Amino acid sequence: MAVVNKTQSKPVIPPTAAVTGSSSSSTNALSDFSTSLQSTIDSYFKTLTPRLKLIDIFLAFLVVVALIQFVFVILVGNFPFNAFLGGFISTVGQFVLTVSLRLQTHSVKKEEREFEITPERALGDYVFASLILHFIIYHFIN
Amino acid sequence: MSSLTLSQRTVDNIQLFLKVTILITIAGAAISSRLFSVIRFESIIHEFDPWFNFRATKYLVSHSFYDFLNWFDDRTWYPLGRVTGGTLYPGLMVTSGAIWHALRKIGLPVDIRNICVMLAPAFSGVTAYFTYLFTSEIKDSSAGLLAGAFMGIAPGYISRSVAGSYDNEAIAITLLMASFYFWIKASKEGSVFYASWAALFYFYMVSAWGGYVFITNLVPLHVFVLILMGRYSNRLYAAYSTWYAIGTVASMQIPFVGFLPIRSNDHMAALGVFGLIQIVAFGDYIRSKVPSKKFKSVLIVAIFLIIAVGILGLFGLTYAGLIAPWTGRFYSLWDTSYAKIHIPIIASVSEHQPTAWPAFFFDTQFLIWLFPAGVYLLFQDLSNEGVFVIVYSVLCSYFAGVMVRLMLTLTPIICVAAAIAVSKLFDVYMDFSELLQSKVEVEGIKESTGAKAKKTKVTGLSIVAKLTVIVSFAFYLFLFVYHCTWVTSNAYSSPSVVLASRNPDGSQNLIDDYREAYYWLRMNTAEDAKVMAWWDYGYQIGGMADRTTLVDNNTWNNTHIATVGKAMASSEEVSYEILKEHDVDYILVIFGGLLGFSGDDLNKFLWMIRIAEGIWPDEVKERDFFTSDGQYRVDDLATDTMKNSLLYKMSFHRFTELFGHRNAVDRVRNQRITQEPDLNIVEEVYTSENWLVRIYKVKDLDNAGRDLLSASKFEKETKAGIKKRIQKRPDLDLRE
Amino acid sequence: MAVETCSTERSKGPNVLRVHSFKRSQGSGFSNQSINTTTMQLSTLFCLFLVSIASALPSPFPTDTALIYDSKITNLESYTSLLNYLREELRVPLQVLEFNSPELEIFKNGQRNFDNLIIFPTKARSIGSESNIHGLDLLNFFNDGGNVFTITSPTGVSETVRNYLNQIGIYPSPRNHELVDYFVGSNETSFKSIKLTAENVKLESNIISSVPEITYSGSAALLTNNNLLFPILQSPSTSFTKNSQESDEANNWTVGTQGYLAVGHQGLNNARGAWIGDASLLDDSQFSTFDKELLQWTFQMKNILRVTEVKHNHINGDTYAERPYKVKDELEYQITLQEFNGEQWSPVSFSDLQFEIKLISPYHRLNLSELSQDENSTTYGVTFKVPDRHGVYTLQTIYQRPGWSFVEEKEVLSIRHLANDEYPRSWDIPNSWVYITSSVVVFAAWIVFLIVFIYIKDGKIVDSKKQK
Repeated sequence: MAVVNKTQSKPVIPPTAAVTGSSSSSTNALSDFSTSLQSTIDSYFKTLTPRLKLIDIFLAFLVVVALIQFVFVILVGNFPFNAFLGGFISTVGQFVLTVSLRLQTHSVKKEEREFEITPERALGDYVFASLILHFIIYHFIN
Repeated sequence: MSSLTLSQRTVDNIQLFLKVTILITIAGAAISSRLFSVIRFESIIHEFDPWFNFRATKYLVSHSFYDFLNWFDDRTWYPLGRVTGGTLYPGLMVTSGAIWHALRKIGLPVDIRNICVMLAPAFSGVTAYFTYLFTSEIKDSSAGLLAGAFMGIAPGYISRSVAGSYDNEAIAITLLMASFYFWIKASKEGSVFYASWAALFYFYMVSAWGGYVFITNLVPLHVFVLILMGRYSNRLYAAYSTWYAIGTVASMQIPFVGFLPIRSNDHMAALGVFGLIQIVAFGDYIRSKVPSKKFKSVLIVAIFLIIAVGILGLFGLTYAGLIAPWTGRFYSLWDTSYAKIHIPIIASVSEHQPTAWPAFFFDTQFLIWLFPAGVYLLFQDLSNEGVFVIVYSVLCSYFAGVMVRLMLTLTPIICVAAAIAVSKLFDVYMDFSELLQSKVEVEGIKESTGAKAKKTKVTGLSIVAKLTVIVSFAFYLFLFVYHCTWVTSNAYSSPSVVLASRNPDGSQNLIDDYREAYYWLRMNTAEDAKVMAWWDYGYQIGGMADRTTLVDNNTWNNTHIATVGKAMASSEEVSYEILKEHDVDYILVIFGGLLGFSGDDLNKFLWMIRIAEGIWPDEVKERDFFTSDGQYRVDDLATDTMKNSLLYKMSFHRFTELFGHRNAVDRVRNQRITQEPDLNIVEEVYTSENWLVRIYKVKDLDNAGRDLLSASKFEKETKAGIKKRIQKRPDLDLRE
Repeated sequence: MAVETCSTERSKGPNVLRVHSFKRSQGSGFSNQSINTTTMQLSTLFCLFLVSIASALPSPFPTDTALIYDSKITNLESYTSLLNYLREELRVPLQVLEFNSPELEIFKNGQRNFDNLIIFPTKARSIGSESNIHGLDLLNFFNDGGNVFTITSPTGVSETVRNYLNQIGIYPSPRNHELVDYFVGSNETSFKSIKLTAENVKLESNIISSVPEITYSGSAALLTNNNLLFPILQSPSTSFTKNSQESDEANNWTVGTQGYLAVGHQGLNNARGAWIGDASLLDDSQFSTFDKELLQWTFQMKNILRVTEVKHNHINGDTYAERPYKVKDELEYQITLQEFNGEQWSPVSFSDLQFEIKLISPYHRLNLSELSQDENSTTYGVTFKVPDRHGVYTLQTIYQRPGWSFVEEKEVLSIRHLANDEYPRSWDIPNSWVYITSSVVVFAAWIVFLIVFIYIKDGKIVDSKKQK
C-alpha cells in the first residue's frame, strides 16, 4: 500500500507561556490542553500505517470487551469474582502487551544500540507473553 | 608492549572458564558451610516451622497433588481442624516433591527427609548464582562474582538456610534474587520476554513465601522513582506492564493469596503505578507529537487530575470496604508498639522484635560498612539499575531495623552494594595494566578483571599504594570468611531440637530431652490422643510425636490460643472444665528450672496471660501474677494466682524432691522453691532426663462423682494413715 | 424423617464424658481405666452376648458375692429368706464371712476377689482380718466395677464403711443416732419405729417399682448434691435423727426431709451400690419385693442398658470409608439399644433419647426416634445435615437417667471442607458465561490479529515531528 502522505494545513497556534497560579493562565492551560490534544489526534491519523491500524483496531476491540464486562459487573454484581477478574484481566493484559508491541515495533525514538529489539524479536516475545497470559487466565476461570 | 598477545576470543574463553570455576567454588563453599549441624548431630529438621513444612511435604509425596491441595488436616487445631490447602504457601513443598519425584525417576530414591534437609544448602548455591547475575547487570561480572561469593557465605542468609532449616526462606531468597535479576534485565532491555520470566519467577515466589509483598512493592516503587526522575522510556513501560499483568494474575492462582492483589492495601501501590505508567505512556506519546511548551501545561492539568482521582479513589474504596485496610503486621512495621497493645501474638514472636545494633555486624561483618559506600558509588552513575539498588537499600534498611526477621531481606542488597564498592575499588587499585606494559612482574591476584586501562604515571609509590590497598582488602576478605564460618558454626547451626552444652570436664553434653519426650509420646499414647501444649511446640509435636495438637505455630485462631493460655493460667477447677471440653488427654510443658534453660514455659507465661487476657479480661488478669511491688516471682513470695495456676503447679511438681526437700533452686529465675504444689487434676506420666519436658495426663472424671480435689485429698489422707475417729455433722448444701 | 434442632434439656445426669463400656473394667485395681468402644469391642460384645444367652444366668455379669457380717450384732438365723433368695432364686455364688475372717480379701493379687459385697453393720472400727480394709479399698473396689450393698445401723457403723460412703456422698448418722418421729410412730410407745408412706418413697429413681409397706427403725443419712445418687426412701418431714445418749437437741444429724433412709448410687463405670440404714428391712419379717428389687438392681440384674450397634452413613448408603463426610452432607445415624430385664436382653423404648453432633458445644441436639424393634433390641435413628463448618466433630449419644445404667457412645470424625473442584464450576454459573465468552473471544481475536499482523504489508513509519 502506498504511503499516505496527505498534505493538509496545520493548525496555527500562537505560542502562549504557561504560567501557574492565575485563573487566566489556567484557562490558557486548558486551551493549550485542548489544542495539543487536537494536534495529537491529527498527527496520529497522519502517521497511521496499516500495521498500526491493525494494532489499534485490536486495541479498541479489547477496550470494548473490557467495558462490556465492566458494565455487566455493575449491573449484575461480581459473582463469580474469579471469572470476572479472569475475563477482565485477559483484556487488560492483552491490551498492555499489544501496546508494548506497538511501541517496540513502531517507536519513533531510537533507543540506544545495545537495547534495540528487532521487530521479529518483539513479536516473538509478544507471542510468548500472550500465551502465558491466556494459559493462566484459563486456569483462573477454570 | 607485553610479550603475550592474546586474541580476544582466548581472553573470553579464559574469562568464561574462570567464571565457571569460581561460581562452582562459591556454590561449594555455600553448601559446605551450611552442613555443620548435619555433621555434628544428624540429618534432622530444625526448629519449629520446618517440621510442619516437612509434614506437609510427606503428605504431598504420599498422596496426589489434588489431595494435597485439598488437604484437611484434622491432627492440628483440635477440634477445629485446619484447611491447609488454602492456608499455606505450597512452593516449598512442591519443589521438594518435584525433586523427590525427579530423583526417583532417574533411579535415585532419596528419602524425603534428606531432600528436605538438604534443600536449603542446595538452593543457596543457586542464590549465589542469581546474585552474581543480578550484580553483573548492575555493574559487571567482577562485581557479580564478588557479590555471589558474599551472598554464598553471609551469615544473614545462612541463618535461615542451614541444612535442616526447611523453611520458606530457603527457596524464597533464591526466587527473590531471580525475580530481581529478571526484572532488572527486563527493564534494561525493555524486553517482554524477560519481563514474562520475571513475572513467572514472581509467581513462584508468591507460591513460596509471604514476603513476596516486598517485591510487589519494591518494583513499582522503582518504576515510580524512575518516572519521577524523568527517566520514563518505552522499555520501562513494556517491562513493567508485562510484569504486572502476568505477575498479578498468576499470583492470584495461589489459594492462600486469592484476591488479595486486588483487595488489600499492601498491593495497591503496584496497581497505582500500573495505572500511572499507562497515563505516563500516553502522555509521552502526546509529547512526541506536541511542542514542549504546550506540553508543560498539559502535564500540569493531567497531574492535578490524576492525583485527585487517585487519592480520592483509594480512600473511597477503602472506606467503602472494597479494599481491605492495611493488615496488623503492616502497621506494626511502622509503629513498633502497635503490636504489643493490639495483637499480642504478633508481638510475642521473638523474630518480630526490633533488631539490636550488633545484629547488623554479626550478620554481615565488614559488608555493613561497605554497604553505604556501595550505595554512594551508585549515586555517582545513577543508572536505572542503580536506582533500583538504592531504593531497595533504603527501604529495606528501615524494615530490617524494625524486625529481626527482615534482616534476611536486607542481606542480599548488602552483599550487592558491598560487592560494587569493593569491585570499584579493585577496578582502580588492581589495575596493573600499565605495569604490564612496562614489563614488571606482579603477583597473582584473586580475580582477574578486565579493567579499563587508565593512563597514569607509573611510579614505585603507586605500586606500593596499590599493594597496600590490595593486601588490606585481602585481609578483610579473609577475616570475613573466618567470621562467617565462625558465626555459622557457633550461632546458626544449632538444630534447636537438640541442645548442646559443656560438661564440667569440657566434653560436649547433648541435651536431647525434646526428642526423648516426643518419642515417648509417640510410643506410649493412643493414636488419637490429644496433646495440649503452648503453640511454640505444636509443629514439633505434630511432626515428631505424630499426635493431635490443640494449637500450633500457625497461630491463625487467636481465641483458641487464648483458650490454651487460659487453661494454663487458671486454677485447677477452671482449667479442668476447659480441658474436658476440648477432650485433652495430655499436657506438655517445658520446664528449664533444673537445667537453667531460659526458654521454658514459665518465662513465656506472661505471653500466655496476655493473650488470654485479650479475650477474657475479667477472668485472667496480668497484674494478679505480679507481686505487689511488681516483681515476677515463683517462690514463696509469689501471688496466690500464680501459685494456683496450672502451669506453675505442673512446672514445679515434685521439684523439691530432687533436692531432698531443701534448697530447691529454680536456676532460670534464681529463686528458691520450698513448697510442693498440690496437683489434683492431672497426673505426671513422663519427665525427661533433665526435667526439660514434662508430660501430664488429664485425669478422668471421678467415678463416684466427687470433684478431683477432694478425691486426691481422700487418697492422700488414707495413705498417710490419718484416721478421723470423731464424726462431725458435715456442712452440706440442702439436697434439692 | 423430620430433622429438628431440639433444645430440650438433657436429664439431670452428671456431666459424663466417659465412654460406656459393657464389660466392667477389669484392669489393675486402683486406676480408672476407661475403655473406648470400637468395632472390635462390639464384636466381643456379641460374643459375650451369645455366651450369656447360653448360660441363662439371671445376670449377664459374673456375680461372686460375699456377705460380710458381725455375729455380735447380726443373727444370720433371722435372715434365711435373704440367703435363700440369694442362693436359690438369684443363684449367686455366695460366701458368708465374718468381718474379721482371714479369708476376707477384697483384692487378691491386684484383682477383685468378688463381684458383689453385702456388708452388714459391724461393731468394730474396721473390717478385715487385720483391720486392713479401709474405705479407700472399698472405693477402689467400686471403681473397679464391683457392686457394694452396705447397711449401717445405730448399733454398728464401721469406719471403713463410713469413709467409703462419705466419699460416695452419703453421710450416714453415727452410732447411737436414731431416726425419731413424734408424729408418725408405728405405735405410741416407740417413736423410733416409723411407718413409711407413699410420699416417702422415691419411685422416680427407677429402682423399685411399687410402694412398699415398711416400718423403719434405724439411722438416716445426709446426702450431697451428687447427681450419681438416687434416693429411694426419704425420711418423713416430721422426723429427725438424734443421738439417743445425749440430749443435745441442737445437734440433730438430719432434720425432716433432708434425711434419707435408702439410697442407690451408680458410678460412671456403671458399678452400682446401695445403702440402707436399717438391717431389719432385710430380715425375715420384712423381706419383700422391695428388698428383692433393690438387690436385683444393685447386683446388675435390672435396668441394665446396652448398646449393640452404632452406625452412621450418607443417606444414600455410602459409608464414611467410601466417601468421607463433607460440610452440608445429609447423614443418618442409628443406634441399637437393649435392656436386660432379669432373664434376657429385650427391646426397650425411650422417648427422650438424644443425639448430638458437637465441636466444642453441640451444633445439633436431636431426638432419636424408634425405627424398628426386634425381639432383642430396639433401633433408634435420625437424619440430619452436617453443619456448614468443617472440623473434627464428635457424634455422641449420651443417656443418663436415674436408675438406668449410663449410656455414652462417642465417635470422633473429621468433617472436611469442599475440595476446590466441588464448588459449582464456572461453566455451571450463568454469570460467568459472559466472562468465559469474552476471554475466548479475546483469544480468538488475538490469533486472528497475529495472523493478519504477520502477513500484512506495512508502510513506512513517518516521524510526525519532522513534518513540523
